[in-house]
Amino acid sequence: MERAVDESGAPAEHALAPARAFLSNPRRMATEHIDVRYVAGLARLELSEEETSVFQRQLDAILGHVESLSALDVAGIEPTSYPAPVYDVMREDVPGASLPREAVLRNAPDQAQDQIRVPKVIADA
Amino acid sequence: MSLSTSTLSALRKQLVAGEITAVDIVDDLASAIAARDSDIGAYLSLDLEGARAAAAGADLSLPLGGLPIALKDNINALGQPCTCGSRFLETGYTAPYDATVTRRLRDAGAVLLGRTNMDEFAMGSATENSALQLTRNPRDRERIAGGSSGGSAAAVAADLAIAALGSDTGGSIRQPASHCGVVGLKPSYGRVSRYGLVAFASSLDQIGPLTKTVEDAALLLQAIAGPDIRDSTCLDVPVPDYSEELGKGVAGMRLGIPKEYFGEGIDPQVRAHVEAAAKRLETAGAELVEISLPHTEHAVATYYIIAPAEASSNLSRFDGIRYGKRAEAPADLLDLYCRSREEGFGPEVKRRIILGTYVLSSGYYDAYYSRAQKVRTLIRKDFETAFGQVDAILTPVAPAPARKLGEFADDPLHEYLSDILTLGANLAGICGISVPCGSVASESGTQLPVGLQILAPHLAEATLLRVAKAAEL
Repeated sequence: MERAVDESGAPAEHALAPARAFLSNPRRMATEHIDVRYVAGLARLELSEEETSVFQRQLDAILGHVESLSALDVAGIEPTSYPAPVYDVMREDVPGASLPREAVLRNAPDQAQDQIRVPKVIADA
Repeated sequence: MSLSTSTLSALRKQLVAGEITAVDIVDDLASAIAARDSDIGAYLSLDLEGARAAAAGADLSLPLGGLPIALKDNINALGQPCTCGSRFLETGYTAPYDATVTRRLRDAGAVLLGRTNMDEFAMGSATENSALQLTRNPRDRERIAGGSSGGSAAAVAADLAIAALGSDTGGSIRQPASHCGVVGLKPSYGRVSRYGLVAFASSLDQIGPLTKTVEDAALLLQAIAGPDIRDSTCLDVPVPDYSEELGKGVAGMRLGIPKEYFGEGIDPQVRAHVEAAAKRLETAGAELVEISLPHTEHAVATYYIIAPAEASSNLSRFDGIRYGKRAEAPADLLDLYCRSREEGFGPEVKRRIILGTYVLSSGYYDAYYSRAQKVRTLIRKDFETAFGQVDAILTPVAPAPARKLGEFADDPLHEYLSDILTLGANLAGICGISVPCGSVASESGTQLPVGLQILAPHLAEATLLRVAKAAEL
């Protein structure tokens, strides 16, 4: 199986091409097609061939619409991250009960020795 | 009169007077659900045994004592499923805790009845993106209930629930309420804790009530509103007595009519009903003022950058490790992630994760995400300017009545564009409500409900409810 992201987590070279092309002309929004398979790899989604082609068409249409924002002058406008921002919210420093370990572990698809079990991450020596 | 067709406030009086018991209400709803929900598909799961036990022990002196409430299936309730309408959580997840709103409902004496269908992870406007079940509009079974809280709206509209909670990220309470002919309120950002709501887009999500009357919406909002140390975005500000505000009327109020919300693309019959509702409020003593929200046309583009961006981040927690779906026989950890997500998520969720990942990715972040955040400021300021002139704003909720099931299945952009009238409230963080204001006859002879949307400033739910009460038919 070929992946846009290799084992080291680095994106395959070809996958960076659209980003490079964009960076060389940063004033405009991207008009090149989104590389659905590459972006899906970044999001840890493995798509079928059919999904990839359907999403390609649909996402091109959606991106075509959102590019209308490039016509607006936003120079000097502050971004809104939250509509009602609050800062440095602290609770009282009082220890409270955590979720019961048993209740949390019960949801894990695979568990052993009171822990969640995952496939081996480190290769054999 | 059967109990299931009644309201929270009417049933409360009967309970306190000893005319009925809380178990009677659960039993009546259980019969209605058994008889009719196979046609509607509002509920994903029921906890009738738990509901009867809670009803039997309910403290009727509490504000919601003995009153059953349905929960959208993305709000955690200890010991119950929470599928989010997704294959990912269809099995293998039992909530190990109560969401804050769930805890508050229990503390107010409410009885948890069951869990309602929704678009997968609340992504959609028709509940057709539920991976688990189809929900039909109780007013016309060939049409959508709206979404994403379509199960909650349909349950209330079909008298399969007295009231329900939903969540609204871009209109997901107001639009299904409009399509099903019930009341749906999206509180201001920060009014209600989201702790225990499965996050979709954290700068936009709010939990709110779907009810049969404005009075019930006030009652339910009262129970769930207020600060919570478990959600740092939930504001530590006083919560007014909403029921007390209801009867104050609209005399002397200034109500804005934004011209951008009544233009091209709005069904003429929808516009006529909303304009008639505005006229009734004028007759009741309000002054109608034409206003402008000039950046309205950019709401869809702004929302469909910001919401998927946040969703792509929030949904990264669904990795097949701690809960829900895990792919069989993974080759390694990366294969486990990729295949669990491929098998667990439906197409709309994948589309939005890919879109969100793209607009946040290196080289595109400034062009899409940062720019959208700045346009969001412009949209927010539009409302600030408008609320300098008026107390509340009147608009349609949806451009047209409920469409037929299955239309535009292959055209997500078309569906996104129909959200334009509700997105602004989420982007600006203000509160909004949908109140039934009429109906339109379909070609098959059914009556399709039309909702009036009322928008009020941040934390001005009291104003919102006053106008809504005056507009109620």
